[in-house]
Amino acid sequence: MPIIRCDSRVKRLTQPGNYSGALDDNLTLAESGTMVQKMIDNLEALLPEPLLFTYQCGKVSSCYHVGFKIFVQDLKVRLQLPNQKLIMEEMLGLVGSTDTPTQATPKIDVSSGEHTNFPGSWQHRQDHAELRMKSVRKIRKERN
Amino acid sequence: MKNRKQLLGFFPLHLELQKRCVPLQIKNDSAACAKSQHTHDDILSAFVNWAVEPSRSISCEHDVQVSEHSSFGGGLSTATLLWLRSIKCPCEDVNQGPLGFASGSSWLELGLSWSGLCANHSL
Repeated sequence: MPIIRCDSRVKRLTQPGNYSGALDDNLTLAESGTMVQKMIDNLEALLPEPLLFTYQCGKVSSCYHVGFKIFVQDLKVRLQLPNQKLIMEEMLGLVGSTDTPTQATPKIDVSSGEHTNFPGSWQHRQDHAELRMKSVRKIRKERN
Repeated sequence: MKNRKQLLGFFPLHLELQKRCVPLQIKNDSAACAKSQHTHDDILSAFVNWAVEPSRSISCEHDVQVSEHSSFGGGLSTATLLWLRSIKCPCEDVNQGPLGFASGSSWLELGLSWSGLCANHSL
């Protein structure tokens, strides 16, 4: 999972290559959720047409059923996701290991195992994306 | 006199909190009640094997080239787009989940699902 970390006071995009790297970077389950949300939002802003279907959001109990003592604010429909077995195994593992599973590091090893530092600062990358987003907003406005 | 004033201010707040607590307590109780009818293994198996029928998927027509402009770069954005396409979404906005739980989907699960994709495909 890519994450944003400060390096000499500059925010940069980085991706731990394995569980040990994720532990070093203090990547938490909650942050994984936030980052995937950021990636989807970013993609959606770059496309003139809607990317996702619209569903209601609100308090959901999916984590509670697995053993987390929380209801979280999310999508109110149940999607069929890739890797459902892995999701459940990870969530159960985290429930068993700590009192605050959302702040624990998921134990998923990627095959490459290499830590990736993406070039440029996070701000620069956002500025670059913003240029395209501006033209996308213009296209949307013209269509409406 | 000051205490009396503070108490008068506190009382409406207490009533408002009570009003807001009741729906949340009902929601918690109903989830706990549904949960107690099944064993832990039943619940896990139902979540692992959850299938959405009928389902719809996110369109394949989106231009993959746009991912080059993403703050996350081409590789991660293309992977995210491909991952999104492999999600099966319900056709209606109805909250039905495994074993009849209105469980919804959390961003935590979505994050793990995405990470699992990386584990399989080595990004």
